[in-house]
Formats: sequence, structure tokens, C-alpha cells
Amino acid sequence: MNQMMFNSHETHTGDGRRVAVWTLSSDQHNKHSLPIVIGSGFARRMHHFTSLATYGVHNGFFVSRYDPVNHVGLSDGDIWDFTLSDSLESLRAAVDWTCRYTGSDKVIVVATSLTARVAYELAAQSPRIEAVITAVGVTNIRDTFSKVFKEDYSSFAELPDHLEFEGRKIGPGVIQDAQEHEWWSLERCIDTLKQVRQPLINFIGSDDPWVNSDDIHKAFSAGDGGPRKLLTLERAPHDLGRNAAVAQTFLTYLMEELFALNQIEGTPSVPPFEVITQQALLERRIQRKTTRETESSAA
Amino acid sequence: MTQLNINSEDLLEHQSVPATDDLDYTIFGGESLDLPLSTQREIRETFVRSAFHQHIRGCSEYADFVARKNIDTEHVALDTIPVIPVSAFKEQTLTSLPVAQIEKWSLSSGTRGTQSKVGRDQKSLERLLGSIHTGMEMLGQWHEDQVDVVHLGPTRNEAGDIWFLYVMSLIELIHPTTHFVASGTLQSRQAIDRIIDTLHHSDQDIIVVGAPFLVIELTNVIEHRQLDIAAQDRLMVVTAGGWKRHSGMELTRAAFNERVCRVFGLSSDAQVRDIFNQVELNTAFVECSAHRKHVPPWVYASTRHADDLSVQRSGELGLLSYLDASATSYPAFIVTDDVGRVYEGTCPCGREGVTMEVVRRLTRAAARGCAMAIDRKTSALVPTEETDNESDDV
Repeated sequence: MNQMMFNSHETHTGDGRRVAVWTLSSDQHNKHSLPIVIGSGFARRMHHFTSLATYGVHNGFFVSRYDPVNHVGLSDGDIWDFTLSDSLESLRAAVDWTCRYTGSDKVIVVATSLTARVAYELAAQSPRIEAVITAVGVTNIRDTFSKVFKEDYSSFAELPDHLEFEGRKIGPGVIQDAQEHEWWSLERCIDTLKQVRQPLINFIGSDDPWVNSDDIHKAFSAGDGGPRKLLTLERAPHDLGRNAAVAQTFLTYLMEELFALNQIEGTPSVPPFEVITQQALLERRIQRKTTRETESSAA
Repeated sequence: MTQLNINSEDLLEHQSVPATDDLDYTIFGGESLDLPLSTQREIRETFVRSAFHQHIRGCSEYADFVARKNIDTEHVALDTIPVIPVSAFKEQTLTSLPVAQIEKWSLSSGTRGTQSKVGRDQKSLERLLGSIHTGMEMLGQWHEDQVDVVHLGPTRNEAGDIWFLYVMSLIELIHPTTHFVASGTLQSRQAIDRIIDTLHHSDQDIIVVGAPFLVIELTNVIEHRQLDIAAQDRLMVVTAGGWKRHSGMELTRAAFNERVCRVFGLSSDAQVRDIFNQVELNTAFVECSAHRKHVPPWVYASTRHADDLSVQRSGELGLLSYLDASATSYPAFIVTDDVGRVYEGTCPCGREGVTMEVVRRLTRAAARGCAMAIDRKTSALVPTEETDNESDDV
């Protein structure tokens, strides 16, 4: 295993909010491969994607991660104020920063769950995105929100006081934003995908209770602005990391897709368990130390 | 424009990928301990038998051992699958995979005598973590940041290759954790300050994790400082690592629970739990609220007569033995030097399944006698001289 280099950076959204960025790379980085920008799923932070980042670096890629603004993690704002529109601006900032930092014209975005919807939107807008690979990607936000929150808020005239997810409270702004900016519908997602000329690949979990695979098939069939590929991971839940075997299958196939997109010959390799574990512990400590320091200074 | 890894001429390709085998699906599914007993039995039969065949193919020492038993390996009953005395792991290296695939060599925690040495590949390590995840869900339903772990043990790096310390340190992958053993010394004052600070300034719950003698050491300091912790239902104490080793502690489990509840000001003794594991076993057994250690269905736990290693009835006192299907890198088909009981049925916590309890370690004299008896049954896998000095005299 080549030596991994971990660095912490920051950039800003267009309106000046700070976005925390972590990079992971190695001295044996393949200079011909495009950098990868990882967009974590909702309520997940950079350190939850250690395995993905380590797999990427182990196979020669430069990897950036970021925490969105108004979300959990190390960037400005609180998840109470989360909106998909802010999530889009955070991803845009991370992509732009990664291009500037690496000198690359383009990046490949790997996004999971709710952030997949945002990545599709940015791919339609930004020439800096060469391809998008998503895992358990959400195309029908209305349906997924209904499944997660047990209510269809898209038709609510009156906004709820708050939503709750994994013990965290999210303010009504996420609903308001979704209504105002038409994030809700599958049809709107299809319209977006029709404008995306770049290759899109999505991994579906066959046991995913939050994402309807029929919606994915419909979105990728009708949203045929460019090449599309769907891979169904059999017996996989929404949280692909819950089952280590599922996670390894996903990561291996993901690396194969990245190799193909970059026209790299060969077979991807699996980083050692201890390397991933050490990196995971390092990143958790950094994340938690920074969070504690921020909370202490705020108090 | 970059290329997609697409074989068809269609613009949209769809491919289905098998992502998990049946055993991983069970281990990581998180519901294995809540399955009906009949389903657990079926799972056990299937996976243990499959693992048996894998280890015969992969581990030549175990295959030789089995061959000498003259059993029908295709139709063997679980009770007649040959078990390896744990002392065999002190004398030789038993692996079912090429050594290059071993990611971690782990040692038992004894400081006297020879240590057991067990090699694990990535899959075995991940499955061990999966069993800890499943067990943790029996302790409570917390999201990552809803708990602050006070670990009365060293960091992952300081834990080195000692299996018990290594496994304990991995809780940091699940919840925010601070380690309060440095250079072998418990930093009790800092640990207590952390508990009090979290109780007063955070809405997080607290899990204190450590060996029983270190928990007792912590309660001694709390009493000495005359602190009123009054944690009520916000703190859980989780012990692991044996009840008598290193400590000379003569406390019964009931007395331990009572003391911990009183000193930490806990609401219920269901907030004091124990976890069982040993270096030769690849699965953690976690206590439920009724203080029974639940055995997941991919492990066949039994007790055996010391004289002929025959399997005993449910609830009968004997040598604890495990056929653990989760280990791929070595045959985790073992008979231990722990004396205990295994029960099958409905636990007072409401779950159906198998539970176990360790009653005591073998005395040295008994262990020697037992080792000789085991040696007669397991020739070539166990040393002829008993070298285990780790057992406490009982």
C-alpha cells in the first residue's frame, strides 16, 4: 500500500459560506485519472466515507470529500436549516475547488442517496463534471420523503414545525425549498436528466425501502440525455455500509466503473482492512475533535 | 466524452450483481437474534456444516484431525464435528487460507505462559465487527453521536495484537470514544470528569466500557471522592474480558451489578451488561436486559463432558464449546477451558434462541487432567504437556 496523504481544506459557496473539504491522495496517484468528488448522503459526514475514499486512493485516484453547509459536519450552518438548494451550492463549491486545487478541468462526482439528486442537477449545469456515479440515488424526492418521514409533505399547505431524522431536527425550510424550486417530482428529475449529456451510473439496492427501483428505471430510461447504466446490488439495503460484503461488492464495482471512465486497464484492488480501519479512526478523531472545539468556542 | 463500461448497444444498460452471501446477509442484517428458534436452528445447521467443509478443504491440520475420526463428513451431525482444544492455538498455527490472506494475527491476553495466536482475514474481521454491531443494538438504539463512550482501555494502537484490547478499542468506529488507559494505567480521574461533564453539559448518553476490575477501580475512586454521579437512565456499563483474571476480584456478578448501580446512580441493573469473546472465537456474545448472553445462530454453542467431549443436554454444566461459522481464516471449532452452561429456548427478555454462561475456569489440576483426556481424543492437535498458565485456580 502506498502512503496515503490526508489534508483538511476549506472553500466557500458563491454567497461566502464556508465549506470544509478533506482530500485523500497518495504519492502513486495516477496523473491521468480524473479527481473524484464524494457527496455524502443526507445526515452523513465526510468520515462516513473513509472506505470509499481509501478504495479510490488505493486504486490511484485523488479524492475530495466535503460536508454541505447547513448540514451535519464541519461546514457552516446547522442541519436545522438544510435545503436541497444549499446542498447543490455546496457540491458546486467542492467541484470548483477540486478543479482549482488539482488543476484538472473536470471531476467525476460520486454521490449517495439524496445527494444523488443534487449531483444530477449540477451535472446538467456544470461543464466541470465528466460523469456522475450514484449509490442508492434518489430520483423521486416526494416518494422518498414520504417513506422516510411517513407523510407526503409535497401537498401540505401548512408547513410542519420540523422533521426528524435519526434523532436530528430539521426545520420546515427543506419543504419550502423543495416546493419553491421544484425538487419534489420524478418528472422534474427526468427533465434534468434529459439535459445531462454526461455518463450516469447508479447503484440500486434491491432491498432499499426508501428508493423505488421502478422510479430509477423510469428516470434513467426517460432521462436519456447521455449514456446511462444501472447496477442492482441484490439484497442490498439503503445503507450499503451496513453489510460489509455488500459494501465491498459496491466498492469493487464502483472502482471498475471509475477505471472504465478513465480508460484505465487492469483490475481494481482492495485496500487492507487495517489500512481502512486506521484511516477511519484518524478521521473520526479529527471530526470529533473539531466538533468539540467548535462547540466549546460557541459556548 | 468518457466511455461507460457498457457492453450492449442500448443507451441504458442494466446489470444485477450478487452483493452478499447468505451468511453475511444474516450476520449484518441485524435481526438474527430476533428470529424464531426453528429458523435459528436451520441457519445454524446450514452455515456450520458449510464452514466445516470449507475448513476441511482449507486447513490440512484440521483435515488430518477429522480424517482420524472416521466420520462421514458429508452427513456429519453438528454434535460429532470434531472440536479443537483452545490450547492447540498456543502450539501451532492453524489457518484455512493462505497466510498471505491473513490481515491480522491476534494474541490472547495472558501474560503468563504461552499465548494463543489466531490469524484472521478481512472477512473474518468484518464479521466479528458485524456481531458486535448486532450485539450493540441489544444494548440500545442509539445513533452515532447520541452516545459518548468512556473506554477504560487503550487506543487501537496501544492495544497492539492483544485480541481483547483490540476488539474493545474498535467501539470507536461506532460511537465517539475517549480511551482512558495510557501506558497500562487507568486515568480514573479523567474518566470520571468526562462522565460528569457529559451528564451536565450534553444530552448524550454514556457507555462506560471496560474490564470488570477496571470498572471496580473506577467505582472505588468515585466513592473515595464522595461523588454523587446520579446518572439514572443515561449511563450504561458494559464489561468484557473475564471476571477473575488479573484482579483477584472475588465479587459475584450480582454484587458487582449492585455496586455499579449504586455508585453510578443507575435506574436499573439492566444498565450493566457483559460481553463475551475470546481470541479463538470470532463472534461476540452480548447480554440482554435479563443478563443472558445470546449466541447468534451462526454459532453452535454446547457444553461437553470433560472425559469424552460428548455434547451435553441444554443447561448441563460442562466444558463450553463453539462451532463458529463466521471465521473463514481458521477453524473456529473449539472446546474451551471454561466451565459453563448453554440453554436453548425462550429467554426472560422475550427472545427465542441460545444463551450461554461461563461459570468458572477449569482449575489447573482439572485442566491438566482434562487436557490429557482431550489429548486422547484429539491427538496431534493438542500439546502433550499442559502449558496453559492463564487459568485462575478455582
